[in-house]
Amino acid sequence: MKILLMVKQVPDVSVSGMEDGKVPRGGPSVLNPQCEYALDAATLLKSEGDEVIAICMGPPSARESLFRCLELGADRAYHLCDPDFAGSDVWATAKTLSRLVLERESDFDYVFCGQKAADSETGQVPTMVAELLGVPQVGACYRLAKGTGSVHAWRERSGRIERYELGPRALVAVERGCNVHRLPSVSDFLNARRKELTVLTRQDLSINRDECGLKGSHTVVRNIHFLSSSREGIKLHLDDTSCAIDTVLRSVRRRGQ
Amino acid sequence: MTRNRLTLETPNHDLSKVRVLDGSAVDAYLQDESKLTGFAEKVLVPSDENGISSVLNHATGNDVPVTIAARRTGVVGGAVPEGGVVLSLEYMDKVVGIGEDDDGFYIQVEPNVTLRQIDDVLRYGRYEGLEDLTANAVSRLKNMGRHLYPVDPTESNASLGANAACNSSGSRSYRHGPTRDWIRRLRVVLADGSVLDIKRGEVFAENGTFILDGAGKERVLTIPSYEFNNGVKNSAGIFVTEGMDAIDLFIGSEGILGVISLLELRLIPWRPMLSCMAFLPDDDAALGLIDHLKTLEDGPELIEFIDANGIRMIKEEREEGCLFSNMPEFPLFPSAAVMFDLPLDDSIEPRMEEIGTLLNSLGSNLGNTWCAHEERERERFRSFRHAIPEAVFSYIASRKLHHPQMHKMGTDISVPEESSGEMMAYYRKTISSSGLKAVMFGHLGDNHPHLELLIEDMDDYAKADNLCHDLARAAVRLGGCPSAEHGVGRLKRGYLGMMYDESQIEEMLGLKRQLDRNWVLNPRVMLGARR
Repeated sequence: MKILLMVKQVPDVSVSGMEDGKVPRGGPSVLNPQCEYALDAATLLKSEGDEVIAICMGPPSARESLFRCLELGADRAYHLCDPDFAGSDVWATAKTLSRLVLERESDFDYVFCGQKAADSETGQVPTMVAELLGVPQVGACYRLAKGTGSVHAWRERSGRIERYELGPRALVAVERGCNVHRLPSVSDFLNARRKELTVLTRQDLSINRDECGLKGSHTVVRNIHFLSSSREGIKLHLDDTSCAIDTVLRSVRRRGQ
Repeated sequence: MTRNRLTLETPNHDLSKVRVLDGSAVDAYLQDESKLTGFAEKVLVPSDENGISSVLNHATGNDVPVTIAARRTGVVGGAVPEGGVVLSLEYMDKVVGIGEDDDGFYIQVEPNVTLRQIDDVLRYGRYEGLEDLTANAVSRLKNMGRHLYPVDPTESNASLGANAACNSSGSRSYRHGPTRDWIRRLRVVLADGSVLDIKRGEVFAENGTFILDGAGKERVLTIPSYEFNNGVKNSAGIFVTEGMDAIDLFIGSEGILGVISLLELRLIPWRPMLSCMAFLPDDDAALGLIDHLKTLEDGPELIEFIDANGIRMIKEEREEGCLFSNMPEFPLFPSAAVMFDLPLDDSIEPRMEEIGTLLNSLGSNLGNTWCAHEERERERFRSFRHAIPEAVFSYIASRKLHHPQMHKMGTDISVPEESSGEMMAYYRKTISSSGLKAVMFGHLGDNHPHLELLIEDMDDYAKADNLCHDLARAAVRLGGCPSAEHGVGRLKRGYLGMMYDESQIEEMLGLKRQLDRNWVLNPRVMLGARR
């Protein structure tokens, strides 16, 4: 079984905080927490003969996140690193990642990734990658298990547990996992240094300059701000139930207009 | 102009800008992490140096004892008042600016700034609002890459004024030395409200004296003549050396000579490190690894030890409480642990392989050694290490509910390298014969472990008190110090007599009398009541 693990490096928001909805850059970066869950899932599913290949697009510093994947069980890694990739939106990112898959690792069985990144929180890249690869996908998973020639994926939606059985050629996006991050041992660290980490530029893939990076992006982030509600709450007394229900209904209808 | 002349500034005084707290608002200022409880009439909260000066001038004029407090993270009761007023520096928490000189960059801070605040500036590049203390220093620092204030006394919420006042050291002093080595300038308010501005390398003692020059009047300040034990980590007593720099007189003086109102601290370029935590079958194996680590060239920045009892306590806390909950299962248990870090450069592989061979001979291996190189992961190690004393504080606080007289009982002993084996044997013998429960952790790289006694009741408390005194006497006999980094405060005043004879203590008292004639500054700290 060949699992492609798509990860992202993000600013460490757990220590750097956010101002006005923007994540500060320039401080320490980490492997995106939901990608860490995907890493855990991929390496825990892995058994003899399986292969986990980590893929990350990002600046030179993103190598550290790939290195963490290699320490914690990935077998080899690709680093998509080129100034031409800078400024990619979700579409350009998905296109670049899927191009790598199609050109270098097209015989994959599964693609695992985090549901969304802690910095942009769009959650759109997994879906787009699945579309571009032409494979089915399940998102928002919290548990994965190996079946017979398949992978079982669990997710929770509206208070219900859903379980899917996915045959090969599918994408799984992981939303939750164990909050106690694993710690690699020095042996893991030394082994990771000996694993293959391939750096690829735009020219290594058959992708034009206007298909990636800022030029290949269809969206521009103009501003980010927190949404706040200016509506005041209404307190309804429970001993007047029918009146309370009428009031709620009137209020909903009024807002619906 | 003589080299030993200190010029006094005499500001005008204005108490009206100093905030005054009284009644129940004072209660929050009566304890620190020692869990000692004191009493005070009022808390005075100045917002600037002039406020400090005004308070002290008034206190001296009216004979009111003043206890200096900032974040109250000390463990020897230095910030716990015994009457009078508390001078709380909590409003003076501004990182002022960045400067540069021939020795590199430095950062200027008010006394209540914490290590965490400095870290925020340097690690995340949050330079907005900082002053250029020299031409374009802020932008030059930005361009020169990440820098570091290398002293790490573990408690990142401690104030830097307090770090300076007791010459804190902590884990990284193994490589970088204590706070003293990193202070380039201090502003100090004396008991009468006058102010000294002291830059390192400008004023030195001559014939055991400084000259205090203020408002046209000169007076001679005679400093003690004893030989301060500088061969080990030592924060007990007033630091003096022949021809000493005036700045060093106030570093480690625990606020009995003056109140620090501004500090400038040197910075160094940051470099990537690999933090490791090796788990070994028992304490002896861990000590074997430490001996090896000490022999490495360009070796670790820190070498920290957690004994087998400490690891057991962590495991129990982890299973029952919330402390340590972000750490995975230990790779080896029962075990003792050694935390160390090494520069993450091309030498790391051969060095680790050598350490691996040693670990194999000690009954462990590199697979039982956690490592971290990402900042977040290194911070987990740091928090893990710091959670051990926190677990002890929490335990003592729970026992104090049943025994209000109880406070933390632990040691802060350092000994010379050649005596470390003998001291460790003495620890074991005396702990075993006392029947007390204890955990040992800390800076074994500097032969400076902390022993914390897990006392249950007042019988244990009495036994622990005897044990600590016994260990302190043994350390002094071996050329060590019973108060290596926490200061003497109120809890360890008794230890001073072990290290200094009557005439030497009289010299310290004499120095205090010269600078604080009415004995108002931290009057019960280090030297005790007015004599």
